Amino acid sequence: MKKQINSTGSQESLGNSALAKAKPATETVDSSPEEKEVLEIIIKSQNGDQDAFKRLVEKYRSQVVGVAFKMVGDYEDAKDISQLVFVKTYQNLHRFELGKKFSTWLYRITINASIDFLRKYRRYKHESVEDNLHELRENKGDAEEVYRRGLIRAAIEKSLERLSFKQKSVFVLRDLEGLDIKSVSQVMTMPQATVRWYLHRARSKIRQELQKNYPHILERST
Amino acid sequence: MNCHKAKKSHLTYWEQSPARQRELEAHLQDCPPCRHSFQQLSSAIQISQQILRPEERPEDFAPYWHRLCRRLVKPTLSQRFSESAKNIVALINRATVGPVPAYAVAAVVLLAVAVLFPLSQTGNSILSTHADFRSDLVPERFEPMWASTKDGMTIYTLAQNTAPNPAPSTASSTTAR
Repeated sequence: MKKQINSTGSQESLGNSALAKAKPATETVDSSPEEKEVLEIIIKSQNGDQDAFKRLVEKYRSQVVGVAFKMVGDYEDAKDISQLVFVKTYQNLHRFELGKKFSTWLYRITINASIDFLRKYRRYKHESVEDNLHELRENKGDAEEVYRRGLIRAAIEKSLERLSFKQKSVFVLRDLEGLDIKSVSQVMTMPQATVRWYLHRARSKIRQELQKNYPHILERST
Repeated sequence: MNCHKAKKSHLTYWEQSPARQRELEAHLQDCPPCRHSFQQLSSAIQISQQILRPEERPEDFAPYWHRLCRRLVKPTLSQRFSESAKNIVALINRATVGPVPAYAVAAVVLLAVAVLFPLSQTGNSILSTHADFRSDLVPERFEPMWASTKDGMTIYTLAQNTAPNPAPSTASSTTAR
């Protein structure tokens, strides 16, 4: 892990990764060609074109599965949630306002579906032995590395369990998905100041938990 | 900027204004404990980003879409109706069951008020505690407000009942038994 601050004292010394997160993302609704294409697909889907909806699913599947996975911690559950999300999207597509950003709307459905799932089953599923074996096969036998990653992942998942649903959602959207504060506030339908507060609490808890139980992970990476 | 402020604001360093970020950076460069704390925060976030990334498993889109297709059914009118009904019930439940703690607090406050200011202080209760008061001896527009005992006699202080007039005049006469 790169050092975020060094002794030279210049702004560059904070490290690219730390500062990269500060880049403000501009919220454009339909200015880019990609957004226009998405808009066309949505209009066709709203008019009952199932092929257009298929393209929409193909385009956003990885985003939906990714967010659901970060929320619930299991790939198979995330896939099930993503199916539910697309069913809801299909059934409520007529309600989508064309002036708004589709990905924000989809994020909101995904977060809500994930929270519903977590409420129902009350647990954050940890990676199974089969998952580790799968990863081991993929990494062609680097067992030590897989084991180390497994430990770190278990530590992070344990710290995420300490967060409330809202704190976790805000952390996932902002820090793991890289959305800007304005987009997060739109997805979560809460003021930006509230998003900052949840983010503050979430980051503080995660660091505290890792410091307390797994200090070697942070020390090794700083 | 002092350490207390820095420790509070570095948790949202990436969401601060550029001026505030520069101020924070200046402090972090001069303060090793704060710098260490910030480094740990950055590490925690970066590790989370690296680790919590779903492993892209080779999977064809066709089976996924096939599975999804079976569930893609537009809701019928009755389903929409039941959905709306469920929403209405949920809305009512939220208004009634949701603020139960608030209702409990209100009930406790009312109970406390009732205990602290009992009805016995009002004029009506004088009549109930002093059953021997002869209301037929006083004009109808007067009613007892207070009672005290002196030399074996009960002295009633009366107040004029001025129902049509909102401002009553008090203690205009006394009667003794």
